[in-house]
Amino acid sequence: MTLLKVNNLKTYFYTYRGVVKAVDNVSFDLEKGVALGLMGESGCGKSTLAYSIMKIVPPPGRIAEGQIRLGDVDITKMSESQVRKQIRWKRISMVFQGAMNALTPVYTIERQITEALTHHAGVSKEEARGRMKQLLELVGLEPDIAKRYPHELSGGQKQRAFIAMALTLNPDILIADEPTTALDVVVQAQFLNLLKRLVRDLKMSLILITHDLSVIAEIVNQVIVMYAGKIAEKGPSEEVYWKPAHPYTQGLLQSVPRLKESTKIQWIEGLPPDLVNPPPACRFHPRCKYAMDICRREAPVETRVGQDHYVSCWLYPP
Amino acid sequence: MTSQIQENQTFKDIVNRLPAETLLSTQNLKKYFPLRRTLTEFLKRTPSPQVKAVDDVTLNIGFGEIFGLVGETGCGKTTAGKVLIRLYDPTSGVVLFRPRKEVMEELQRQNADSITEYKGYVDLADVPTKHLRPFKKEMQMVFQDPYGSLNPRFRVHDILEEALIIHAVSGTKEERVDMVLRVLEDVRLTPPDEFMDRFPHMLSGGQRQRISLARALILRSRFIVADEPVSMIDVSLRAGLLQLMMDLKKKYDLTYLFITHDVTVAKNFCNRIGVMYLGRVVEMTESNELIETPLHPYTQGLVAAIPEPDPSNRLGFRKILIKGEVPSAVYIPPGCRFHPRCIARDQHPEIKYAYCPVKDPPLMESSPGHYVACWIYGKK
Repeated sequence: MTLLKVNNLKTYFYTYRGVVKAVDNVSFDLEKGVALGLMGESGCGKSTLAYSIMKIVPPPGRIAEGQIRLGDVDITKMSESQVRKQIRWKRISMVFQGAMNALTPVYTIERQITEALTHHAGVSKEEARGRMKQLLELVGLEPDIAKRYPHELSGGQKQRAFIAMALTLNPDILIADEPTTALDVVVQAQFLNLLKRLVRDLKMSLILITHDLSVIAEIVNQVIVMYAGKIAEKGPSEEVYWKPAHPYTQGLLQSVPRLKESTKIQWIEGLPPDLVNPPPACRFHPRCKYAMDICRREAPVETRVGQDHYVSCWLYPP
Repeated sequence: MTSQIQENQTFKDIVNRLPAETLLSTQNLKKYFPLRRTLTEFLKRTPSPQVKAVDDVTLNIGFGEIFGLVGETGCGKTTAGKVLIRLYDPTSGVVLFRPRKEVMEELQRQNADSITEYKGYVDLADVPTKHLRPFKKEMQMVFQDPYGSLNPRFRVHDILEEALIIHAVSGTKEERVDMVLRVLEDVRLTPPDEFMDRFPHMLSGGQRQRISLARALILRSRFIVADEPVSMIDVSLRAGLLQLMMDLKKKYDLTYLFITHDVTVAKNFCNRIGVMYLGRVVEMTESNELIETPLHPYTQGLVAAIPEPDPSNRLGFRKILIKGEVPSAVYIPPGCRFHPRCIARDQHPEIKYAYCPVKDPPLMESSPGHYVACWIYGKK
């Protein structure tokens, strides 16, 4: 069942230097109970895409075109108060990059979680407290954490508390934006186990945004690779990891050092483009070792190369 | 066979026991940072509590080696790196370093008689601050944050030339400019005259990190402490910077201390790795051996938790082999500092209560070149 449908989405930032096309013509579907990985380097527009879905794109950015359909409503057409009342946290919630700093330092964890419940769900304080206990248990925190302030918790605990908050209103979709970058590997492994369990047990849809290919492989079953505001490749993770079609995906996968095997490290020459003035046609062509004439003239179209596996590259002509 | 490091040994004894071709060696290095006392503590005259950032680190780094120091946040790896090149003064311990001849000659010119030298080694921990500068030419650091470690008001050539002026390397402006151009070419910022006049904000993270490298190279440093040099750089560019560091090492016979939290990068880049936990090196061996046969329960837990780009991993859950959270470096657990979090201890009842919570295990050589600080492997 398709839960979320993003169609030709364009989110632009109107700056003095010019229009930054952070998300440019992006389309994808998200099924119920699916973990989707959104992968790309810094500045490729992956966070902006998430902000667009939450409709919290900071000015001077705004959604210029396209639809984000959640069931039968289009989020892009809704007013701010409608989104706040109907969508945000109720149907889609988000864990931010550095979520540990997103907690209010002056309130206890209990107050922060129950406040969300009493305000949004209109339940009594008693009920809210009961629900909070369930949530803390779900994310693997001791109940006595509730009485503490954020500074008394470790990074991993704060991250879990924030997840508990994001889950208070039973959202259909959880967006996690680089949730593990500030965590150590052992805590990261615990946290990824938690996310896996949430997707499996609660049948929740997850959008995991990260630059770390290894972290994505640990959880997701669908991968989207973004480059310079556009989708380069998307497909089931086995397909993308074992049979990467786009030269960028291939380069990325080769640049990741492996723990168990010794591979020669490789990298992609050049720098990611400036999105005010991206290269014409295929945006990857200045860094691509297979670049052909057509790559400089025309933007590639999305082509199917396998089971649900799509790539935008002229190496695979339609 | 155990090679336990004894306390109270003389400087000469340590030097005599060093493996051949050692560039830098530390023995029982400690760095404590005092905390402020509370009013009650002050009135009761209790000594101030201390953060034991580096607590008894012993390691050797050979000429031309890439030594990796890995560990989680707050384990003291950066502090250890800074103490090694005397950016911090150690609380106690010995840092032996073998400088070039020119450095010793320079010191003689400065009449630095208080510095004892034996077989070419000098105890850096003992060098008075006023005589440190010649050594700093030999050892430089590349910092983690490429956005914070370059002066935003300096142009690239000012940043690089400043090092030459401070160390009075060469006389004329033309010579210095020439050196700057050459070093920029070395770190592959070409064409160099184009990069000379740029400000740091006009460069990408990777390019800035290259400037940091160039700043160390322009002094012909031999020992470079690289503190997480690639952690803030995009994935697709990381391998490029690492390859550059490797090429420069070959060209200039450099020795690196590579500090990182990323065991995968360390394994692929370093010859040997030391694993730090709460201020101590708990395991030290060749990098492939560390990954294939980790001995210390902490290293085992660390290696098991590392994600790999293999989509079949999502079908199962990862085993977490370490319990609890890292304790504070102010109140380090007695005995083995890892024992409250150790799972392996439960399978060894003979040491569980008698040794682990009581005595700190020394760093013992369990097989040639493989050192581990754990009672499971050691003689008791």
